Amino acid sequence: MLFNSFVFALFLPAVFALYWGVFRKLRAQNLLLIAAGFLFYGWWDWRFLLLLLATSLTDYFVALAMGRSASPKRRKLLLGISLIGNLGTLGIFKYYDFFARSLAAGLAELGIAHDPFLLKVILPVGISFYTFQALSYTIDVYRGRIEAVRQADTFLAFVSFFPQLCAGPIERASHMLPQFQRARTFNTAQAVDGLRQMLWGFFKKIVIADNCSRLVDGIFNSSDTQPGPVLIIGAVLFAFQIYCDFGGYSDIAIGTAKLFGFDLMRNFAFPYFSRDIAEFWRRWHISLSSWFRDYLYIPLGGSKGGRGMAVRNTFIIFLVSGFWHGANWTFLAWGLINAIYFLPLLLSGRHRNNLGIAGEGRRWPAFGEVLAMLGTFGLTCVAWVFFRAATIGQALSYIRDMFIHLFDVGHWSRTAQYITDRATYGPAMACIGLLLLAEWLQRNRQHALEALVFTRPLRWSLYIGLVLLIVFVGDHAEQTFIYFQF
Amino acid sequence: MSTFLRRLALFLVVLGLVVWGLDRTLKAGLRARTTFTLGVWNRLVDGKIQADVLFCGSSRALMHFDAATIGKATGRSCYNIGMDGNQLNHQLPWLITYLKYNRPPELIIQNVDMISLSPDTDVFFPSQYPPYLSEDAIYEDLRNTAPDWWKDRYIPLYSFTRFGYGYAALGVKGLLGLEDTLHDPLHFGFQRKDLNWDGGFDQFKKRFPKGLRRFNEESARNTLRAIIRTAQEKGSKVVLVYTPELGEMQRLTLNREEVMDVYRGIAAESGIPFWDFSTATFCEDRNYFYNSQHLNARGVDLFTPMIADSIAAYVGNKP
Repeated sequence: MLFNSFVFALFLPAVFALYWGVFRKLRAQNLLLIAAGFLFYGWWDWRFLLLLLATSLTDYFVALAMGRSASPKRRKLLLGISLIGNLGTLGIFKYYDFFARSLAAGLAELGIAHDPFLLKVILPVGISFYTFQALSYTIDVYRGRIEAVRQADTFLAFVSFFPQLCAGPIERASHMLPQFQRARTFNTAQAVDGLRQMLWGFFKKIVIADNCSRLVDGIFNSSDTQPGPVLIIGAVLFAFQIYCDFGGYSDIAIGTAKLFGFDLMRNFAFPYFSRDIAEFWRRWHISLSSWFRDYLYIPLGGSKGGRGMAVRNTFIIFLVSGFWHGANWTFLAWGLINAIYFLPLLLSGRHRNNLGIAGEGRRWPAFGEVLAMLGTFGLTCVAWVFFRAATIGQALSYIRDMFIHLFDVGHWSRTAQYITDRATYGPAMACIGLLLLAEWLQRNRQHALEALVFTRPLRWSLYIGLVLLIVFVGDHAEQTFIYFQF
Repeated sequence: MSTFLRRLALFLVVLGLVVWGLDRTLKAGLRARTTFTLGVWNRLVDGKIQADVLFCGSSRALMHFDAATIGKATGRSCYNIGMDGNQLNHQLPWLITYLKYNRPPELIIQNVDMISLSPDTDVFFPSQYPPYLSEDAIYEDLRNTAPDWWKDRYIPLYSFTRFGYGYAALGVKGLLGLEDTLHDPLHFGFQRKDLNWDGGFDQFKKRFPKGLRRFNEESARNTLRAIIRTAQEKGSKVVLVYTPELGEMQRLTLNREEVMDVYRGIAAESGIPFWDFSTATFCEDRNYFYNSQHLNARGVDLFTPMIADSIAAYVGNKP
């Protein structure tokens, strides 16, 4: 079920009413959330539920056994079972065909013909998200940071919590499980804020991301014939598409969770106001970055082993992060490029220079900050080309063609024609300006509509204005979210 | 909880009022339009057509019957409600609606063609419908084709989410009287296409070098019978007309005679004439068509006196 679908508009109020109106006891609420999560997830394909159930129950029993055992050897063995179960499932569904094809291609280079056996299975929605979330649970139980959950329904409610089941934020068990274990009381301020955040998320997704996707798809699908400036437009629009798609999803997920009394971790912190790549990565997909930091970077030694180890571990993190996104060399290249961007900051010790917000204490940024933000945004746009392109070859020629014809008048006149032909997208593009303005003014908040200082009539006018923008400017084809494929 | 529900309800009421008000306003603007397709339908539901001769059918009616010229030649008021991309099942509700608001025409010319006997399973050019969903015949037809049309009828602004802000802009322009009346492509409902041969047919011929068969479905035949019966019950005379079609295309249709026999048979059982203009000699000349199915302006200028004479001969000239 998509957040931006008609059926979700019926589903959410129904679950909300049952949750607070009928199922008031903790256990009943958790059971309702399990049912809602399974309905939400099974809406795509009920067979995916079996996989979700199987991996969840494996982790549940493994963690229980771990909790009962004092033997380090046995606990390690149980952790291994969980790792193999989760990563094995991910490997089979997400990566097997990629490796089989790559192996065949490699052998073919050596003159060895090999017809690979391919599974050709459909990738279950959100598999990378819920397996990582479940892994955080078993690892934390193994490390003794949390107790194993005894009630299966509590654990299932945690794994199948519908707002963040398909695309995160990837929650830590230590943060989320206690919320499923204690009685929840309705909090008006939290719920109102949730609705505001959902509204902002829908605006980002339906108005900006989905309109951008039409243009971006057109440009990337014919990138070899497009003039250079149009390719630049395509890369910039993809940057906004992916931010508003995934950031929009996260806003809706976090807002929805608030309606049910849950606090999900922040996933985006206005990343395009970052002044360097290190800051960008502290602000982009925070739940994944911090997952890798906690469960991979630090176990690998982090930066404790000196600069050499820090560089090695940074490259590992970025490459694994790239590969987490998808079984394609383009994602690996995207991770590698970000690692290369990060390297000078790491080596010069400036990777933790920008820990606060841009324009701290001022309404508008300083000139130097604007340049730094634009520079960082430009670098991310180049990297996004690899993320969006179908192949490394397409990405390389796309980037080459963006710049080699930059001073060719013919390319600019074709670009002017391209823009004129797509004048109907003008209002949606203007909304990108609105997005930037709103998020800049609210950059010290959790989201753009949090704690607005306007009077109620003004606030309500703003909300109604956003609804009308969604109605009139939004793309209502119920486009799926980009990160569902991961 | 009660504070939250109260505030939410109040907000939803305010939002609902704004949305509902905007919906009514924009649809009123669409209903006020006088140009293009909405202009035709607005005249129809406002009872402002009141034609003596009404031309019905698909795009071949829309682009072949020059109502104003035929009107002058026959001394009768004529109007064309041909529908681009719509088959008989979508034409019938408009005829019913026409007869609800306008006096029955003396004569209804119902155009048929080789694809008329294949009912539409979708709705072409759906944005022409939302202002008229309170018309039962139209709404039922749309619901039969796509059940989701209830959302357009009952959810305020839903149609504008489907057709975008450009559609809302049409409503605003209609409301403010800012239409481009000088460039309305429709004149008495007729769309004149001053185009040369577009070459698309040659691709079609390559795709079907041995020709192709056209559908001949019972439901479409029944819809045609219903159209005739609806008109006759109101006292209108009806003529089935097959307007000119490129000769090369005629020969590519393997079951053409079978389809034509259906039309002849339905005409005979209904006691009405069937006029076939596809045998006109200029049908062999691509210069009079812009594609295999549609006459261009030159072709229409040849065809208009032919149909006007036939009408005059059938119902008599008015001074």
